[in-house]
Amino acid sequence: MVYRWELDGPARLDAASLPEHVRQELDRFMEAVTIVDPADYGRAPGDPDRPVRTLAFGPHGEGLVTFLVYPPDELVLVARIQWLG
Amino acid sequence: MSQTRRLPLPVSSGRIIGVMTAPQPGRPQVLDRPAETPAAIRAVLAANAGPEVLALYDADLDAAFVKAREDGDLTVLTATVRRWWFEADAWRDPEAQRAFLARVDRYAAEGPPPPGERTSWQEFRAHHSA
Repeated sequence: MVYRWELDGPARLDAASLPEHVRQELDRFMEAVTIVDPADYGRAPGDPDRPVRTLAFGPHGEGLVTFLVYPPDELVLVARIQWLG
Repeated sequence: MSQTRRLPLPVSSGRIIGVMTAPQPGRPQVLDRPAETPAAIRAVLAANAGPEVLALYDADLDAAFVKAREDGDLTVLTATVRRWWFEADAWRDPEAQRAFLARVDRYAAEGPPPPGERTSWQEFRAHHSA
């Protein structure tokens, strides 16, 4: 199953406010995450199956993408993008 | 697959940024970004997030310290501090954070917004390329 990654309105504003080099980091992230299961990737054993998940991006994990996964729709909805670099 | 929540391996950036700003009349206090330290993170959470979030942070951090001592490995501690650094960054603006939490609660309960209110990353990049 290949999920579509989409941004909601506020996340789009988050992304628009990022400098270009950070968007390039997000490009790499978005390309990489399409090959993993967004509901499980990076989840430690015993972690609860929460509807809202996060994954870090950037060379040193300076960025964080917060998202929800909708398996029936094969959709990942990005609700927030943070960059603390 | 890594057991951490990041695609690259977790690395602490060690950035130290900012101090509190004066509150603005008529709106909640928006703070500057805290340093990536337990004390600075706690100060933001204590000021803006409320006792429940603060208690979660304290418990999480205490558990991470215990685990780090037991294992002789700081990885879990640095990952915990990093995770709460993002949380504290969000709580710098409590009004925006509460709006975000309400939005994701709604998405979780009612499903995603309609397609017209969503944008694929490819569409976004097409409009925001260098």
